Amino acid sequence: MKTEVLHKKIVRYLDGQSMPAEKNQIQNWLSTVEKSDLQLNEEDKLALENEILAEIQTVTSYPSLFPKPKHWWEKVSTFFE
Amino acid sequence: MRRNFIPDQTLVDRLLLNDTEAFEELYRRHWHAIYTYSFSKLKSADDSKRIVRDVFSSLWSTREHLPVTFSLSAYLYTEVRNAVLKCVNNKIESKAEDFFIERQIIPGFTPSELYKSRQPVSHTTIYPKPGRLHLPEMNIVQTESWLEKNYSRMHFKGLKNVLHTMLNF
Repeated sequence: MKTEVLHKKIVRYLDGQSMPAEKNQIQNWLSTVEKSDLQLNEEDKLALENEILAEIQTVTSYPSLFPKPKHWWEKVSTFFE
Repeated sequence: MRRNFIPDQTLVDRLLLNDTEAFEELYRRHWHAIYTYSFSKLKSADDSKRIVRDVFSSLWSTREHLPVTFSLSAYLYTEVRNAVLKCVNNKIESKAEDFFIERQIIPGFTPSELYKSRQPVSHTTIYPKPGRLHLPEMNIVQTESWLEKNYSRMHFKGLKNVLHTMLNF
């Protein structure tokens, strides 16, 4: 298959205009998952998790719109400051 | 190992109340599956990160318009597949990564490769086959990290079977 042919097929699929055979072909490709060669240790995984969450927070800005309520011990500690 | 026994559906319901902790819990449960799938298809850490970010940003943005019969797993499944396809489409249109498309994407469309999707999924292809666990040689921290690394995505029932196999090997 050439790149141009694949491009046309993907465009038709995304527009919902693909033929059933094309749809099956693309869905089968999407369903084929081989064992991932992704190797992340625990620290990297946690760092990546927090990095992406920070990006989501920047995009949606939900922490500033909906700040988390303070726990009781945080309220008590501010009382003694 | 991160375990929280609140069901996904309850957390989704709490999104309507603008519960950011519920959203973060959903994110922490599912981000890695989306990232791994995207990475296996696109072989790009940046694209995979962007897809995870977009999927969850979209979930937060549309939380007030979710249907009553909303299924988070179905939503994530659909969104990540569409996002991967759009990313491939963008790569083709930009013509910046022709080599990647020709070497990595197009070979996946051959009949022999597509036939693999019709085969039953074998657990041994996803998870390493459990062997005898050398309990005296591994301390609790090592055991936990080993289980987290290899079996963190497995359901409780599967995990129980793995532990049973290892301990009775």
